[in-house]
Amino acid sequence: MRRLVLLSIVVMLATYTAGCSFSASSKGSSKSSGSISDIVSSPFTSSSGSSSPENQYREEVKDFTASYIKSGGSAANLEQEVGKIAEKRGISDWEDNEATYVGIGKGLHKAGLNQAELDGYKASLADNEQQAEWIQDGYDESK
Amino acid sequence: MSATLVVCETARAERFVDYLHVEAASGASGGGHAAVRFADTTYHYVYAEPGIIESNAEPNDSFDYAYRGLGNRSIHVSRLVVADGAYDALAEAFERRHITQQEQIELLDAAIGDQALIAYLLEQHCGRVDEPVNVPAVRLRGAGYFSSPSQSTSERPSVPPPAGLATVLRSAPVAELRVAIGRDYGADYLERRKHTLEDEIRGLAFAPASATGIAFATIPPHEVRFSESYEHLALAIAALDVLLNERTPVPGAYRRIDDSAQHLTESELATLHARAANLRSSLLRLAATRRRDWGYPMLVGVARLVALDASLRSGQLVVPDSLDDAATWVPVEKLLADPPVVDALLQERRAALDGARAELFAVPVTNEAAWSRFEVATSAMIDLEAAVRRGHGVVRAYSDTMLPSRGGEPDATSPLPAADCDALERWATLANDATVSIRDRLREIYRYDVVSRNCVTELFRTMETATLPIDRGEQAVADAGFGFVPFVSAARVNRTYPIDERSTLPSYRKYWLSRLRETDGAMRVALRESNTLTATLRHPDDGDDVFLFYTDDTVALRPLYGAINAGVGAGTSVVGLATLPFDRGRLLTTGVRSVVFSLPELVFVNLRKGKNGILPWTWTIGEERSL
Repeated sequence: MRRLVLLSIVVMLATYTAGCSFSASSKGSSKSSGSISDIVSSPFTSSSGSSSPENQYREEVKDFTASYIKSGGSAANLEQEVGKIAEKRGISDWEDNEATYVGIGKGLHKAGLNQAELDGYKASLADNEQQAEWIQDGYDESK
Repeated sequence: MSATLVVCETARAERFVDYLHVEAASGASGGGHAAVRFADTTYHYVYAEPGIIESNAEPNDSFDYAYRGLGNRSIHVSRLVVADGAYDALAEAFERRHITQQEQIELLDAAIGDQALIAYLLEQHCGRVDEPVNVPAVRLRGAGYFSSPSQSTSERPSVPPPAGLATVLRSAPVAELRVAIGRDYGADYLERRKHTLEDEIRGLAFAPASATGIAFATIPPHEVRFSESYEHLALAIAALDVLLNERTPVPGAYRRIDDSAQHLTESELATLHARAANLRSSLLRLAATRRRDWGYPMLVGVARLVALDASLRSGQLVVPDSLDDAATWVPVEKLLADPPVVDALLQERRAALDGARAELFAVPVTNEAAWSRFEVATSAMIDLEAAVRRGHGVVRAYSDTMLPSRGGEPDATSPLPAADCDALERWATLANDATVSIRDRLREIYRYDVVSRNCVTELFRTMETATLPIDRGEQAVADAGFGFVPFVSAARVNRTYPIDERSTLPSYRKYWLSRLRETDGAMRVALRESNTLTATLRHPDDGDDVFLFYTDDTVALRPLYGAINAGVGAGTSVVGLATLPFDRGRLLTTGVRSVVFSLPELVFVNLRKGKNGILPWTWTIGEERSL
């Protein structure tokens, strides 16, 4: 009986002090009736600060690129990851968007790449001269 | 564990990091929650499937909405002073941990996607339906805007299309684009490309993902997974099919606001004309891109061309429906139970739509994001307004992205990877093993533990990974005694680190209680808002406890209220025993939980705050609220 009481106390304490939250996301969920709060997670309220959505996108690409490269991410996959950021910002044609490549250039500078290394990334990432120019512009702007 | 913040006397340029302690709540947050805030981003760690502690990075307003609004929990902020260089190092450490872990979790998602595709192929090729396959159905995002050979155009829309919309939607813009592509790249370019992709998709072979590259704080090598390759190819083939066959737009997949005040002016029509021309030239370039995933932006782009054409012809803005019918939804009846909330939500969505419309005509026509925002705002507004007007139906959740997401199942005539049944059986086993090994590896690295790996310990573990110029080696905050408990860690942070300022961001209920006391009188508000029967600040959540009295804003009466709450919980438990065979113990569980979280109130401790099921966004940030 004493063990049972002790166990109950431990369980109660663990319950009360467990702390932390549970993730709201449900991986792999499909069509379902969710919590009513699900329908309020408006993308319009998620962009704070006074800068324009374009500037926010460029800054997000810059920070992501820097962290991604420093963490061992490959150039081959960088564009695909940047594409996901673009989609969240409502940009499907990110290849034709100056902010994408300027952001990458800034991020590569932030990651500490030198010009020779930058040239390698330009060759790998840019499909045309315009994109390469944008990457260089972003890199140079950050100097 | 030694925390490694740099104190202010070493700093020439000082910056601030906010350490957040979120007050406790009933359920899984009995000890509270903790987070750190850099500028407009809040980083925190939460328990997530598959039993791991997961990094979250959220805009501050989203975090506040979830915790202060829906959770009704106040947040105590300790503003820490750090040197400029230290600030950058810390912010980067949190960002790096976040993106590396997300990349690793994406590997798991991709492995689950492989399983789903193989199960689908088994069903298609071999007529075999697995035992309940716990994987999502194969669905192609963006494939729902045009008719297909095996899918009827009269698919049941979530909102009936406005009368006359079908007559202004036409496939002529699709035909014009097809002709232009033929002119630029050759008459048989699209046909040849389609054949190449069909061969490619038939030749796709599965290779299991490996868990060996998954290590703490390292981006794993990412090879394009089987299901990703299939999706890219299937979407590209779907896009080519739309172009080659000039498929008809599905009226239910487009939205138009029927409001005479919204008729387009001459100058707006000219802007839309320019936007359509710009989009057409972008799609011409996209037709020859090296992007593997070009099918989705092509489908979205063509749907937009059709919508722009319909807008120009009808003089009213038409957009592709941005939300997906397969998204999470809620029955509108749940909302209608709280009329002030519905009114406020409609106002919010109307304001978002007005803002997006103004932005659309103020930015250059090359600004795609503005068009996307307008699409989302229109779709969300019509979705809610139509459901409220009808008094039944569903309201869909926003998509994960800001782009048109209406999906469709793969068409029956679309080619599939040409594996035989033996190969598919083998692949199914390998895919299952790969998912299990990745899941195990993630658990190995990030396993959640209430004491040693929780929302507090991971904040300080991440701080440790920052390379800082000076390390004072302050006393451990999280690793001694009860330092892993959020409110204990917050007290230690306040004692240990240089604090510039301490403040409290009140919960929704506390904020509005203080406002209402000014207007309605303290006594009246205290009586009315003290209980769940008469409170106007209550917007009940299905998953909340059953209780009568709020105890977060009263101390003297807390034990009495707690005793009554415990009684209410006990009564609910008794009823729950009777309904056990019918509700799988749901009411009984609620009752028992309600008793458990009433007990601390007997000794003056409040955990339960009363969750809000839904709140208009603006109500949590201090804007006016009507009751």
